[in-house]
Amino acid sequence: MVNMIKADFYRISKSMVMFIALAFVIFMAAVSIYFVEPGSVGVHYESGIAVENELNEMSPEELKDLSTGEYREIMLRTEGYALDRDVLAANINLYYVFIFAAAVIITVDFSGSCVKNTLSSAISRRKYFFSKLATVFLCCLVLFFMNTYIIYFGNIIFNGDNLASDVGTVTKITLLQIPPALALTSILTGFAFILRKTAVFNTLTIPFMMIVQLLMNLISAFVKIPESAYNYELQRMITLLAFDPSKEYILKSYAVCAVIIVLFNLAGWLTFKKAEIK
Amino acid sequence: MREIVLQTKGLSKSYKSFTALDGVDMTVYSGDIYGLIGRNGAGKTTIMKIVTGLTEKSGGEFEIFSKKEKEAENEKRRIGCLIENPAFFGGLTAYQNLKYYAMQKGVTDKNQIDKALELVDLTDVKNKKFRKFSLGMKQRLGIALAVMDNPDLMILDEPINGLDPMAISEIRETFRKLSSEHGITLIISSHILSELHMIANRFLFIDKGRILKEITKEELDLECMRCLSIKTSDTKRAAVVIEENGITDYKVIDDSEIRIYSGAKPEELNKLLIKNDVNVSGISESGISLEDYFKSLVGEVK
Repeated sequence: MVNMIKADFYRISKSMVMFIALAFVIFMAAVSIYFVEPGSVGVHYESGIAVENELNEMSPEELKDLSTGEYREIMLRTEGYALDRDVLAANINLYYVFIFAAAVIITVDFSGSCVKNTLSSAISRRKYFFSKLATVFLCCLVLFFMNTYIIYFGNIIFNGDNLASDVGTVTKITLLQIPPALALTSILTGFAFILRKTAVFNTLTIPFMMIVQLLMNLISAFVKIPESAYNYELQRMITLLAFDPSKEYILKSYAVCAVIIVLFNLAGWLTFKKAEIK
Repeated sequence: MREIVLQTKGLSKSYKSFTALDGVDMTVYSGDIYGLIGRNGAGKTTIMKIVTGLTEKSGGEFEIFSKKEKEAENEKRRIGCLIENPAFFGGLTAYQNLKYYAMQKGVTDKNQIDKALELVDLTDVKNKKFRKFSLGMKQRLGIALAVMDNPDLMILDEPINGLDPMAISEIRETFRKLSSEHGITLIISSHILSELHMIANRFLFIDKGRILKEITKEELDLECMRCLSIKTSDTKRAAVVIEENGITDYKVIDDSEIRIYSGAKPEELNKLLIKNDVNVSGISESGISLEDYFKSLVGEVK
């Protein structure tokens, strides 16, 4: 299994895909740092911090006329606003980066039929499955932590100390967010082993988060969903875990993550176990 | 007695209502170059995919290196494979592709990669990306992958596809060398009978998922050899008469046919048999090409 993981990291190092993923992380961080607010990709993010500054007193017309430079100046003067924490609360964006990892590590192997070289003469399906899972998890966690420190140090370098938390806080937030990050990764590994073709995988996983939100909105139109239930949706979970969550919430949200991790990976394994390798 | 490398008993595979394999029994001994012969869709690749774990069987059983199915998973490293088209990562070079698989298998001696590339004459293009390879080069890289880990058994599906005549001849020599010098057992599938005939020592003819015949090279040569075929209801008496007249190179095929491989003339033989009260219903000259032999086998099944 270790050999498989090492081999995959060797292959990844020779491909541009993970560098593109890293560039995407840096770009998202740069946008958030420059505009002094968390960016969002595809899915709507609602900041968990109530910002108190001159912007609150401006009329919609005045806000519309505000240049990016003026907006930045006001935000940089804002006391008590931790931009890095707010950006980390929008870490759901990393789902799109994780798609790169799952695709390059798993589906590319199937799409090009290279998987048959491995399964026919190197290792068993079980070892293959778990080593791929471990590689995707490792890759996503590396990207996850890199994202944190790129945001943290980028924010200090470009925006100064005023909008920064301390390194301990951002590390703690990132550690707290690991289970939902692994749940997001598991959704992708599950789909990767079920679909096994890069094009189909991308078609389904890219809009998946939006589809989930759409479905929830649709269901809530017919059935009353308790407000607290939304707190256990992955996007909301990532946001809430960034703002000093209670122990009870941490435990409950981790239990939800565990269910997602097991369910998606089990579905992936059961499909892959019986699949004909082409 | 020779060690059995691969044995299948009643191996079957069905896809919904389509039967791809129907009760295949085959035995491959250590040191064999075993030729799987059949038309496209006959079931050759399906046999290979089942024994290498790329697809599940529907029935029957198989043993590799005397280990049954699940236990045989640990024997995978003793197998080198090229199944269907050679598949590699287009963005990696030939060397990088082999290094990737060498790392997976835990091959620490990187010289093995160079040796494998040298064996298939790809040393000069080892730094060229796979996507820029011609079909023949891709095929040779597939063979290099199969041989890289010094396997005990090589399973090669249509390995000469896309190769030019020179390359086919070189690869043929490589297979012979792997078998004779390295003691590697080879299972090679092809629909080009003449090619397989040049290297294999045992053959399995298959069509529509069913075995037509498992035969040694000697037996196959005998079956295809030019001969006189005598149809008679008394083969025992006919054999005695033939032997009494000094003809020893003959074979009793079944209850109604004897084949004579020496240059006997049909009219003289006919006279001789009738004179000795052997009822002859027909004498004909026969002897067929490998292709015709295969066609006749397929016809028998139909």
